[in-house]
Amino acid sequence: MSERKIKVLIAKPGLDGHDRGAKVVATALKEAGMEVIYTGRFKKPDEIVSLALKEKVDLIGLSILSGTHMHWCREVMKKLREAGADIPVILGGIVLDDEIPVLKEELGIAEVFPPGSKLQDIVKRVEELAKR
Amino acid sequence: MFDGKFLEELKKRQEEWMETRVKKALSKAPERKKEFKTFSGIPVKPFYTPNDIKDLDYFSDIAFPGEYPYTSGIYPLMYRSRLYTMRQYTGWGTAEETNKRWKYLLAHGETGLSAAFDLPTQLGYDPDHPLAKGEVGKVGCSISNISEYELLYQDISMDKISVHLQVNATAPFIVAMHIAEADRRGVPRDRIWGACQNEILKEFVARGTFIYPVEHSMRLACDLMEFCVKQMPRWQPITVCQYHIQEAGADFVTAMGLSFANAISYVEAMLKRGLPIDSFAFNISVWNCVCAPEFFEVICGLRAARRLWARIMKDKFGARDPRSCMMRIFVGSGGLHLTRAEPLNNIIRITLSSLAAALAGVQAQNMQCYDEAFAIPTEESMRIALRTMQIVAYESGVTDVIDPLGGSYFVESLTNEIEKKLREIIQAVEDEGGAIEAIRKGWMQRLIAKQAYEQQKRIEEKDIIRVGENLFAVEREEKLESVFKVSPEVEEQVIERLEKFKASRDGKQVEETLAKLQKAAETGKNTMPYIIDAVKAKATLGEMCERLVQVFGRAEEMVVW
Repeated sequence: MSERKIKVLIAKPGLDGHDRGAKVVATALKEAGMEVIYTGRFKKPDEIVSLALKEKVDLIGLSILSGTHMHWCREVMKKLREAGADIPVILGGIVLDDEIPVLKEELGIAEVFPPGSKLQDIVKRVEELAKR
Repeated sequence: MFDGKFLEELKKRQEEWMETRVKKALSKAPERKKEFKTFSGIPVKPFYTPNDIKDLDYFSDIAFPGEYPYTSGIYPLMYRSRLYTMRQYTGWGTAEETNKRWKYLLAHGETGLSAAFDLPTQLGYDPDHPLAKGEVGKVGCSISNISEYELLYQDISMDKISVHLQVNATAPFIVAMHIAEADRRGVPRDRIWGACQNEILKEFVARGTFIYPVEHSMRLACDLMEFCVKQMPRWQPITVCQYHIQEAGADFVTAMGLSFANAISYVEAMLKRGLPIDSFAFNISVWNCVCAPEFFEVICGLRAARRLWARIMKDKFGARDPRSCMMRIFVGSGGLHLTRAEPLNNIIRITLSSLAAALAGVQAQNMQCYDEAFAIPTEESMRIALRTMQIVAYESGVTDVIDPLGGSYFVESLTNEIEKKLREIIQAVEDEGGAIEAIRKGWMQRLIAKQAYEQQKRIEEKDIIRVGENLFAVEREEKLESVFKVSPEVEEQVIERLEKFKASRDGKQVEETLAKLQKAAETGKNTMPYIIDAVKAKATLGEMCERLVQVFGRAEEMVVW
């Protein structure tokens, strides 16, 4: 029996319109054999969380380039906790170095991919996190 | 330009050279790459000769500066009389903070302004709207009403220094605030100097700040354009954007081709309103382009674009006024090719971009800052970007001669090649039913997403090189001494001010002007005079936008990837 495909939700919370990274990562994960849903722009945290639950995804990827990642990550993680869901969340975008430990340790973001990250590294990490 | 006999002799000798010297050299050592091509995939030969431009006609294909088709430049003296305008995309936090940074840059020799607005302002939400939470003042300054605009412009002339308002979906409202502030100061409308982006089509394909469905968005963009060309001759009411399409993933040439298709749609929409081509063409023939990542492709691409636009205006649209054919170019160096690895190296990349733009004869430059991959710029990184443009302009000598690379066999050949490609892309969009139809179908979006992915693969396969990132990379922690952070109090501060502002106004008057605006939108009148009235009556950005949402509805994103 073949293994179930990893299912990933790529989401853009907030008002940021820059979707190049989200689409490129979504395509790379799809090419790596995963099932990928991309939400499009302007999604609210509760919309993201309820879609993730409805679709039973193994991982959520957030893409934010407007400097609002701390706010939106906090909100998404809060909604996940409220829903009692344990879905790993990764973040891609323009993040400061000193924010990365805060995002990981305090907010519980599983991994952060700043500009210059390689697709192969993202794919690998998503596979690890999704199978956990 | 060359004698037939000479070309034959040249061809013969070149073949000999290939057969003997080149072959011998190749047998000793192969070339560095299997194939040499530009960033946009145009093959590049090892060497160019007059045979590569044998059909070029000096007078009709290059021409003197200031003469049709403007390949070498749109003005007869170009930078010998006036250097390119240096305007840095600037804004964050409150209006006062942005005003202060503007003054800082002007004090350091900046010659124009470029305004960055935060996302709530760009999407028509007041700072107290639930969707604005966390976004206020982050990527630009927060402007929700006329009192904020007064603070933004405090002690800055509206007719002696030009501004570029980088705003699209809400351009009619922000420009209305600009006009209202000029009216208050007594600056005549025909003296107001500047431009706005107002380029809504590329928001649908690339950047994402759209509000209303595309046909209604076009109508508002045209209301603004029509109003400005009639009342504000020194205002460029649209800036066609190659820039964001490239930043969203398209290569340089594809992005330029798509921007031309969009531009053609704007021209057609204005003609449909019954405006004669020569009454508006000059004011709307303004482009925002990326002058990166490749030196020669940028230079030739901008020369080709200038020539093709002149030809389209004359041949397709029948423009008679030479000014209608003059494409003016405002460049930015773009952020995509700047690395987070060893960020100071970005200063060198930006220098090359500024130099390419100067050699291409652009009208204005905005250089990104070396800390682009970390945050919005610090005062220092912004100053260095400004100094970069100044050093190229004042120290390198390249601004003393017009189109100094014109006539190079390679430059002219690549210019021709790019013009040909641009025509193909424009035709492909026309085959899809024109730009608006191609956007509705998601055709443009799909093409851009596909190229974005291909580019990322090319970077990872080292087909596109980024020194320090994918070549000669060394493991190290990237640290910048100082990185800019927006103060978290901004949101609270502007919300408090907004409450005070709302308390200070005559609610009846606000409602009356909003009702009139809604009526104008419903009945097809030009909305601009009504927006200006509403601004003066102290209606907020969010209130005006919402009124029009009631008429037009909100656009749904077509998610294509």
